[in-house]
Amino acid sequence: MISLSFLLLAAQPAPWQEPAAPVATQQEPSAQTHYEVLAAEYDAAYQAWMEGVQKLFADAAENGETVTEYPDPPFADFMPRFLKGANKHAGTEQAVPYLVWVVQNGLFSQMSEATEAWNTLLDRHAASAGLEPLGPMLSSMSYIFPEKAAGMVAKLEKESSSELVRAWATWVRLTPIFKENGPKTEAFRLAKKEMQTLLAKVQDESLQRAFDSEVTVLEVFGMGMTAPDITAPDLNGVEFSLSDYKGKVLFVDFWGDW
Amino acid sequence: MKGRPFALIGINSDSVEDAKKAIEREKLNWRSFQNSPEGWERSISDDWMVRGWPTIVVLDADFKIRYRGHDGHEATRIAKELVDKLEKIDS
Repeated sequence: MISLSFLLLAAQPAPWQEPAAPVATQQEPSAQTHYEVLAAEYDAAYQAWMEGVQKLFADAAENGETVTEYPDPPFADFMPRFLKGANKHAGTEQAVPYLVWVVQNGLFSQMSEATEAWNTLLDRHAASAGLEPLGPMLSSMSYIFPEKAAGMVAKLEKESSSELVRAWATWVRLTPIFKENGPKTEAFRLAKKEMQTLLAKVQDESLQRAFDSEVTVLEVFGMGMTAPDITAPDLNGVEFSLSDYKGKVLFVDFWGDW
Repeated sequence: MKGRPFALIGINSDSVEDAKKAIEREKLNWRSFQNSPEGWERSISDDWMVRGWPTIVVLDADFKIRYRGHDGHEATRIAKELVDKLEKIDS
């Protein structure tokens, strides 16, 4: 027994000794870990919310009712916690995933928080590769913040350390060129070539999809292309053709009563 | 736009009954195609690669596309411009 307690005592560094090199287990959990735990907690809450909503619809369907109202996803409960994480690590790389979460989850529900987080990311973290999850949202953001769109795209294209973020920014910059010019124009051709070169380099599925769906449509229905004719029944069952109206300016409206 | 070289054509995605009700209620007087008439395997919106509603396509007198998108105001502005231009040429 004596020898054992001696050993235990010896394991404690004497106060006058230099502390040993810091050991990871002695530190409080790192921000990354805290973020991951919080994100996992949110994912679980989201899953539970989703199941609740599905059950609501299933129950209603069983009783022949329609669901007119259902609860919001648990964004609001988590927002302050992610904001707190971002504040705690303000100005450091560790703040980035918290801010990215706030943008991703607040953009359509808690605009002011999301806007602020997005501004912080652009002002202080434009170079961070941690912005990659926001790539697919860049084009929606350029619609939501039209006055800032050009600036944010230029900044990310120039400053991001991530090839993928830069590629998304390029896509957002080129999208209006595809839309405003017909597929037979030089501008369209050059923009397409630029994107294809980038896509071959970054090999990203969702950017590829964004490009394919937009550009395939525009190659057939882009500016200056001849529209295909339509021949089909009208609402009274009388068949007619769009070309019956050729020679006039046509406003073709795909509509429904929702 | 009555009497001017302009036509508004709808492509309706509802059932014919719902569409007629809406037309009566909203006093809409344009002619509409049924988007997927009975017996059709495809719909007009598939053929036209429409991926969101409403989608508006503006065609000039040569059947060439001058606008395609979701912004009704912008589409109207472009259509008006085209009509004005067309009338100037005709007169």
